[in-house]
Amino acid sequence: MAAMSVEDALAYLKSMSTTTGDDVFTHISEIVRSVLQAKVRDPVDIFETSFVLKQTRFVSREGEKPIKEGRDPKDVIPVKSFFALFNQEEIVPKVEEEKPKKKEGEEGEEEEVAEEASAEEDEEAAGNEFEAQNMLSDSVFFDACGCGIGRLDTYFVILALKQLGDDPKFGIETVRFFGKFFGINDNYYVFESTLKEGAGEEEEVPEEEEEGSEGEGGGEGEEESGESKKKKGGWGRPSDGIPMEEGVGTNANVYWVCHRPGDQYKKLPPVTPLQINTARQLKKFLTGNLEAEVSGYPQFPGIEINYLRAQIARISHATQIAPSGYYSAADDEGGQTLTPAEDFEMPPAVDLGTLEAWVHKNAHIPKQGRCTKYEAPEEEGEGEEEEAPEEEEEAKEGEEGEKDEDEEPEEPEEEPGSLRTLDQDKELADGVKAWSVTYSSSIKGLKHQVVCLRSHLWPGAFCVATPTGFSNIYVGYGLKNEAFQPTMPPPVQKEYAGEMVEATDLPPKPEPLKEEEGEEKAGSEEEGEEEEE
Amino acid sequence: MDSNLTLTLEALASCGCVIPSEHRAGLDISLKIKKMDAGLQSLAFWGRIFTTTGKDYLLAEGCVSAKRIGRKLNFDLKYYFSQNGVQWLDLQAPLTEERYELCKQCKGPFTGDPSNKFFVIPEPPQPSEFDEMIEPALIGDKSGSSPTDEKGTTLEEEQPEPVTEDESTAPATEDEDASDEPPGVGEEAKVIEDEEVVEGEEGEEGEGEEIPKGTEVPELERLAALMKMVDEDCGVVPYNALVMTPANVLVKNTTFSGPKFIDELDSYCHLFKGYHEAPISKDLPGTWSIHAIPLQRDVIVRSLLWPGYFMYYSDTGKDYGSGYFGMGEKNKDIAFCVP
Repeated sequence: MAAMSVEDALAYLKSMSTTTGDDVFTHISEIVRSVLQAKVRDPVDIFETSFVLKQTRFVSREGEKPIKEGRDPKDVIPVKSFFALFNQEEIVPKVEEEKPKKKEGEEGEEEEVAEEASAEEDEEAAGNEFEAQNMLSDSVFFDACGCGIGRLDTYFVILALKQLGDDPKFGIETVRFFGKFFGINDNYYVFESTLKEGAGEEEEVPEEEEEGSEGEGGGEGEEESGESKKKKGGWGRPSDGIPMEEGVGTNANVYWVCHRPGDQYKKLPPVTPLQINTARQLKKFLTGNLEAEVSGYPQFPGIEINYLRAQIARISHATQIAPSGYYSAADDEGGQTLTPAEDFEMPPAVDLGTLEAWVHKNAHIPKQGRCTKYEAPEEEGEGEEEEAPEEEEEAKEGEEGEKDEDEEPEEPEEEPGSLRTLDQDKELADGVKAWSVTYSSSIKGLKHQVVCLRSHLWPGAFCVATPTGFSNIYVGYGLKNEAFQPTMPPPVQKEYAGEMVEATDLPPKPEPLKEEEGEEKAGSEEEGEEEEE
Repeated sequence: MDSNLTLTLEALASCGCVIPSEHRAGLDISLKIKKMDAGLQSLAFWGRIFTTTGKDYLLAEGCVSAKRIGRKLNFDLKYYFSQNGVQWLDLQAPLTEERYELCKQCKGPFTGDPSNKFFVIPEPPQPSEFDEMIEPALIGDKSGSSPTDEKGTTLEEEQPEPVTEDESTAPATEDEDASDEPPGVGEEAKVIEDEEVVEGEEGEEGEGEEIPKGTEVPELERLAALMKMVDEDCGVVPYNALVMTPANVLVKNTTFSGPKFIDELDSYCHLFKGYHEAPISKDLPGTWSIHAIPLQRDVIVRSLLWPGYFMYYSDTGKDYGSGYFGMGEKNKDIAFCVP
């Protein structure tokens, strides 16, 4: 190496890196300084300081990204719903324009504003009184047993329960958290409610209008709204003659869904028997878009919102359970309506640790897809004939799939109703019960244990026994744990079996009648032309 | 690899990943004790398996070393289970590839009884439709060869003999012909073993005997195999969260500043399948779900192939973690489930 003068060497060492702007000279002096500052015992061992120094500097440079002020446009709606959920007015950063107004208004107006606000609150409070699940208490028991959705999410749900119940236009009598469904692109939080008398009927009509207006309000043009109307209506969807249940059985409760607590709540439409039966033959993930088509065979009579509702019906009828004796069944319509027994006391946890101590809250959904049997009036025979053979086959296969849920679905009279004990449920496999019992503690003799039951047929369905009662929750993909057997398409239709004889006759001579028609047509055309002229 | 248990459980709780309070209370300390006793570099909570008796398995995975040898990442992993969150016991992973295959064929839920044994009638080595369609895509094989070929290569990664490769790809009947060929091309013993197994099964299935010739698989062996399987199919870690040192050891990247695009599948990789070479975006489309929680900037990645596998990445703290909370069965119907 050629001799280098001190000046040259220094100049070289001080030449800046083009990428980081550092130079060797300052870097070495920084290292020496930091080693001297640290004064560790064996300085040579930490000579990797060089690396650390460079890295920390690098990080600081990374952090120098331009910081934007304000919110991302896509965050505006979530922020709004977040504040609304916590019943808080959103504090908008730019309040300069509003301030002078307040000053002008002085005390008098402020009071008025306050009065108005309180009046509104009163109205709201008076607007709807409702019963809500004690989710805060329940969540402690969920946590103890290792189920539920965690503390933070639970609190969002608690606030959502209030938001739902408070709104007078929903007209909710009781509301509880049904569960959370995972979709591919988004989640669903589902709330189960019963409506006040008349609230549902009143809403029925405007609901449809709302749907229509929503489609249009989406701002995607009239064609879009037309399509969405088609989607929602039965246009082009398979159907059978069995009407849906109204206010009982599978439609006893009204369900609300939202993507995140605080978002817009959407009422799920009532479920039809055919939707339930078709859902039984499908195994689909939810997409997270309520308007999405449900692809698959057999064709699902509806869109994802209907599919979600059908799954909810299946889950709630298969997994909602209560301690034996908590409910007493009224004798009307085969014990469909349940009333909480008056003199019921929660048995101790030890007694609740068996499947016999628990009963299904809801009746099993029979193969008809309705809990209350529907008998077609008069034209029964015709109705059956009308059904295409494929559909019958589908129905049969549906029955087979359904057998998993309960024993002996063949004889409709023996179909299990509500309040049947869990030990009667069909086993998943040899010796594998559909339910398992767990306790909050594996330590024997620990006081105040919590009992938790969970379904293996619908993984994600749990029920815990609380000191005052019980609480059901579902957290999962909405898929049943069963070997899926895809429905086969119907057999190919047979070829025409008759002999194909080629006709030797000449085609019949066209009748003069046609000529007349032709003339008429020509005449009409002429007329049209004349009109045009 | 190492991730903060508290943060992970907090983030994944919204996916239903909750551990009973009593187990959770004991977990932090019991894992530390086990880590000391076993002399491990790291021991991390792995997941929870729901069992039919209600005695769930909590699982943990220890890492002895993670090194690169040649072009391959090699992990020395140890598996542990606990049923009370306090005492951790060792799991023995299947020793041979055949045992591992047997474990894969186990069906039905776990019982929660560690002494339980599953009875498996080994399936013919013919690749099932599912394997043909999904497995190669999961492995992310770039070669444009036909599905059956790919299956062959995946099976034979650790058995490079050409003879066995031919067998696994060919249908069972051809296997018998193959056995007539003079052995000596590859390892005789292995070939013959395989043949015997194949013939045995065919006999059973064809004649429908009352006592089928099956093999017993202990529940604990299947448990370890399950962890291995989920690791292979999932094992998701953000891109660049771990780095290779000059000594070819995989370590935590202390200057990890997060992936560029947090809600893209490209930003997350299969750690146990080559890491940076295996982003999950190369898997079969539809096997993953990714969801960024608005405002929070947390990302939840879910496996649809293994329902119950969740991974989170938080952009605020640059922390990440994953866990499996499920029944321990693969979603073989995924082809029907995706929209």
